[in-house]
Amino acid sequence: MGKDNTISETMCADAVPTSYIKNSMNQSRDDEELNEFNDDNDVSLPSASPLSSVLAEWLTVMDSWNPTDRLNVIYHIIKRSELDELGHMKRLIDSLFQRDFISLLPKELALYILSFIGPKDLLQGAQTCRYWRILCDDSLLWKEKCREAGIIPSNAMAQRIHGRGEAQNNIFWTNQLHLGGNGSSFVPNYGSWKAAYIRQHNIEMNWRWQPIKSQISLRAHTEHWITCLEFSSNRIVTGSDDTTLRVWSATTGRCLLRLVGHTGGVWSAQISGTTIISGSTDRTLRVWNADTGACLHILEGHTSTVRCMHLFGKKVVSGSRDTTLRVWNVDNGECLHVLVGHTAAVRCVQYNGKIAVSGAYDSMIRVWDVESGECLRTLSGHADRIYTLRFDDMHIVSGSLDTSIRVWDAQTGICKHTLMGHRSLTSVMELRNNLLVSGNADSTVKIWDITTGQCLFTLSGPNGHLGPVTCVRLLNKFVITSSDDGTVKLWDIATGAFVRDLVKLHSGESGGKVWWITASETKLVCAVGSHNGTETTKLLVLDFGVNSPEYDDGMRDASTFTSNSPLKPEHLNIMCSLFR
Amino acid sequence: MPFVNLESSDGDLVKVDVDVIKCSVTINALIEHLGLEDDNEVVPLQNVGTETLHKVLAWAKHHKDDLPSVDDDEDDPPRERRTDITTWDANFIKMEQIQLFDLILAANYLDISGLLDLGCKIVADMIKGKTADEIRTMFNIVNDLTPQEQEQIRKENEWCEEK
Repeated sequence: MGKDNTISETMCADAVPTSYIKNSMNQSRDDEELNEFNDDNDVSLPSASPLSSVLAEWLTVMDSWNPTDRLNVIYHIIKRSELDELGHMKRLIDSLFQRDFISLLPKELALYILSFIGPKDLLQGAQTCRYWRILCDDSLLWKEKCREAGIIPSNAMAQRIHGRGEAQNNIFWTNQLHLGGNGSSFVPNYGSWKAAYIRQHNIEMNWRWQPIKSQISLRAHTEHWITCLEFSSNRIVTGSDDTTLRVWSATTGRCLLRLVGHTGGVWSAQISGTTIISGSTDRTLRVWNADTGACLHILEGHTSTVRCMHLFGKKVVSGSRDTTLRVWNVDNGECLHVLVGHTAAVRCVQYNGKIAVSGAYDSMIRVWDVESGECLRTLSGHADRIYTLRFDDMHIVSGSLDTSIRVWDAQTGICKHTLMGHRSLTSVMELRNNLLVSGNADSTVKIWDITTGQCLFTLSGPNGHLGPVTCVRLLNKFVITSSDDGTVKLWDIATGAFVRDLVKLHSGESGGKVWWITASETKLVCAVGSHNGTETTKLLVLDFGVNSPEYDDGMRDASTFTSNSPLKPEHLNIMCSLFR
Repeated sequence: MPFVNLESSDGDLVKVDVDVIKCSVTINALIEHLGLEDDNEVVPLQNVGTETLHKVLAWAKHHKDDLPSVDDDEDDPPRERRTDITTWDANFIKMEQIQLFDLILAANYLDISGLLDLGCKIVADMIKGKTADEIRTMFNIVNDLTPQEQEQIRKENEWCEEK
């Protein structure tokens, strides 16, 4: 039992009265700087002014009384006290029962407590005192809040975070604790994760509430239709049946380039980095330099309209009315493969760098190995034309004129679910993490869980669209939808609730349509017009960004008309002159 | 049923059913280490006062038949923080801050995760929904921030509100 005795002795030797537990525990911590805070906050009454000898003597007498007498005297003291004196007493007494948990508990326990409170409360906590501020700004706490909110840092932010973030977090921490006693060396502790969270929140609030005073409108392809709309970092690309494409600056609204060369209407386009690819009724694709506007290659081979394409890395897969798909090398313009199999026009294609999935008017979906040009699988089941496709590692999802949407197993090609509910053509879809958003000509949008095949929400009702849905986009917390009814609507993805109209064309009831929308985290670009001349063809650009010089995502100029508050008149003037 | 004698930091001995206190990882380890052979063995707890120890035991007794908490599976979706508190726990935890403080320290020292969670959640609830001023009043915190610092923090924490 020798071992046992040793342990008992050690423990007993350390035994201290309860009231000292706190201190003994604190001192066992590594970070001694913390004690500076804790000692000051030790529970005791605030010091009072010194007592005269008479009063001191009087108190000594009181000390000698028995408990009953003391209670009796306290009763009488209270009874003859004025209200303000009682208030004073109450505050003194209350403070004896209070404990500043965050400052006095060991740091890891304090942080554990804070892990249970939300971002908004953390922000208030950070404003109480210095020590709370340090803990409430803790980077790991905010990283968790970001994770809970699904915030993925943007590139600019990721760099910052990786520069001094997770791995170095402990060092970061230590640095913050060297505060010194004089307060002048108080280093602001502004963790990247917290900044990312606040930024995200403010952007979200802008989408929800920021007054849309003025839509920045860029006249484009007048008298013609905008047939495709692409948006990459700060460039907007539009294609038109007037045979041209235009490149716009999303920050200044200037038309940077006109891409002229196609001899037929442009019906598809894509931008990636400085490469723009367009497909036309003239049966060619063209590769353009997005900086200079130079046409680098003309990709010839299709024998009918190029209707769809998907660019990934250095390869683009195009689909044509000639029933084939072609794989091209973007660098040298060479046609690598002709994918033959469909028996009618190819309407949609998706390519992930390895496989391509195509949907056609023959009601079939084909899966291709782009490297070899081989058709791996044919998915049959739809009863009418396929208009839209999405796929990820697990699923292929197809939207058809037969009103159904089918979910296929990407590996086996087996149809897992047939999503019923829409009453017309599903022409647009977005897929993210097993959540599918489908836009239909029946003027509704549906949100589906494709693992179960269940329809979670139908975006319709009194605030719903009144015409065919033309486009759907997914943001972190929102679904954005556009329609032939001339509106763009914002919906809450988690509840399916209508948030507000982002765009409502005056001409909406007489023929004004929103053809395409595309969105970044902070910007919405809409291509609008009409088929009957009631609405001029133009682009609308709406900005929901926040002023954050630290974290602008490569859109430095955006601050010119980015604002938390409604746009100021002087800004509007600048913009109007820019976009005239 | 085996018993163990716990000695509080005030020197009081409390006889406890081992089954009740099994929720404490610390005491379990001590019992294992000491190899208790008879009921007179004493486990000294230099960090837990008598009053707090009784509270801990009351909680442990009520929860002694609880299922052990299951560890998160790796492939589970991000764990949801359970913030619900049972009525019994809510009544149990009604106490002065000073007592709650000692209880949290005791739960931490004794390594009783259920009780520690309860204590920490209750403190978190006390913070929730309050302004900085209200938090200071709640916990009697002295504001040691200069007006300049306050303004700076306010700016950093600028938060668009729903209108």
